[in-house]
Amino acid sequence: MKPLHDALESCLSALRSGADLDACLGMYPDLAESLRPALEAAQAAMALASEEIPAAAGIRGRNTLLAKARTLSPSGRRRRMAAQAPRFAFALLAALLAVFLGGGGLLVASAAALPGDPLYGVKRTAEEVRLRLAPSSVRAGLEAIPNHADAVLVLAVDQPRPAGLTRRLRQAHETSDALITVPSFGGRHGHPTIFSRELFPEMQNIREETQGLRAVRRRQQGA
Amino acid sequence: MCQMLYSDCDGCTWPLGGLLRGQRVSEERAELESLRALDPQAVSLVHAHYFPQLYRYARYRLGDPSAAEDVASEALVRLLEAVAAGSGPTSTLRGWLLGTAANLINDSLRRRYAKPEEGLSEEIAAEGPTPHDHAEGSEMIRAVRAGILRLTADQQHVLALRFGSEYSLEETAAILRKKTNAVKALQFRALAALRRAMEEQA
Repeated sequence: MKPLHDALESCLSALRSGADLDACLGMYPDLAESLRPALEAAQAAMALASEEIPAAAGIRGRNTLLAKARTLSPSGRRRRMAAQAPRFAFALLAALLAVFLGGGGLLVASAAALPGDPLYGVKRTAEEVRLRLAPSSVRAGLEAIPNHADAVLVLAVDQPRPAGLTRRLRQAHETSDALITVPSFGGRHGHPTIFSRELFPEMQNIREETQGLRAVRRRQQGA
Repeated sequence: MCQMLYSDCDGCTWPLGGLLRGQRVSEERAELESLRALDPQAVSLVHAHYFPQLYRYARYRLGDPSAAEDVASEALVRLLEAVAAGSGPTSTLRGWLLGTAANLINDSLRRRYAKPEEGLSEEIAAEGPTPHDHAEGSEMIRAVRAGILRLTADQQHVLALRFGSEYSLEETAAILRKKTNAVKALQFRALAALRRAMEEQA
C-alpha cells in the first residue's frame, strides 16, 4: 500500500499546485484506478476549507481570553475568593435561568456569555432549547446546570428584577435551610425564585397541566 | 463512532514528534513561558497566533461559524487555565490546542447525535442567505459535510488538519504524534471512506 499512499500524497501536492486530476493520475497509470476515488474525495474535502475568519470573532475571543487571564492572575483570584459566599458554592448559581414559569418555555439568560464566562456552559444548551422548542424546556435548562451547582435562580423573562433584589435573595438563601427562597411583598410571593439542588429531581418531572414550578413551590409550602 | 482522540490532553505533556523541532519548538516554548505570567500582551500574542488556526479547524469539522468561534475560544481558555494551574503543554502548544479543540468538537458531535436539532423554519431564517450561504448550501458541499460526519473521529481529524487547516504531512504527523507513513495511510482510508459515504448519500 505504501506506493499508493505515496502516490496519493504526491497527487495532492500536484492538485494544490493547480494540476488537474487527470494529469495527476497520468503520473501513476498503474495506480490510477485506486487513486481516482481518493483524489475525487480529496477535491471535495478541499472545497470545504474556509479562509474567512470574521474579525469580530477574533476580537471577542481575545477579550474573553484577556478577561480570563485577569481572573486567573493572583489579584483576580483574591477578588474572587472574597466574593465567594461562605456556605454555598454560589458562583454556580450563575446558571441564571429565565423561565416562563407558567408556560414552561425557558430561555437561558446567557446570550452574551462567551467561553470562560460562568454562563458559557449554559449558552449552547440555551440555543438548542430556543431552536428545538422542546416540550419540556425546564428539563432542558436543568440539564445545563453544572453538577456542582447547589441551587438555581429562576427568573421570569418578562419580569426583570433589580440586581439588588437578586443579591438579597441569594444572601437569604445562603443563610437559610429552606429549599426554596422567594421574595414577597404585601403577603404575596413574587419572582425570582431560588430552588435548591434537592428539588432538581422534582423539577425535572413538572408538567404544564399541573402548573409546572408553581406546584413545586406549593408542595414545599405545605411540607 | 467518535472515540476520544486525546483523552489525556488536558494537563498532559506530549512528546515532540516528527519535524516539530528547532525554531518552532523554541517559539512555542517562549510562548508558553510568557503565557505563564498571564501578561496581557503575551496572552494577546498567543491568541493572535492560534485563534485563526483553531477557528479554521473547528469551522471545517463543524461547519457552523458560531460553533467554530466557541470551540476556538474555549480551547484557548482551557490552555490558560491549564498553564495557570501549572500544567498544560510544555512544548507542543499547537498540538495541545488542536487536541483540545478536537475533544470539544467530539463532545459537541456526541451531544448533537444524542439530541438532534430541528432545522430552523423558513420564517426564522428570514434575513436572507448570503453568498456564502449559497455556496454552503450547494448539494456537493452538503454531501461532503454529511459524509465527513459519518467518518470516525480520527478520520475527521486528519481531513480537517490536511484539508481544512492545510497543514503539511509532517506538521500533521507532529500534531497527531504519528509517523508520516501512518498519517498517509490514515489519510487514504479517510478519503476512501469519505468517497463511499458521499456515494451512499447520492
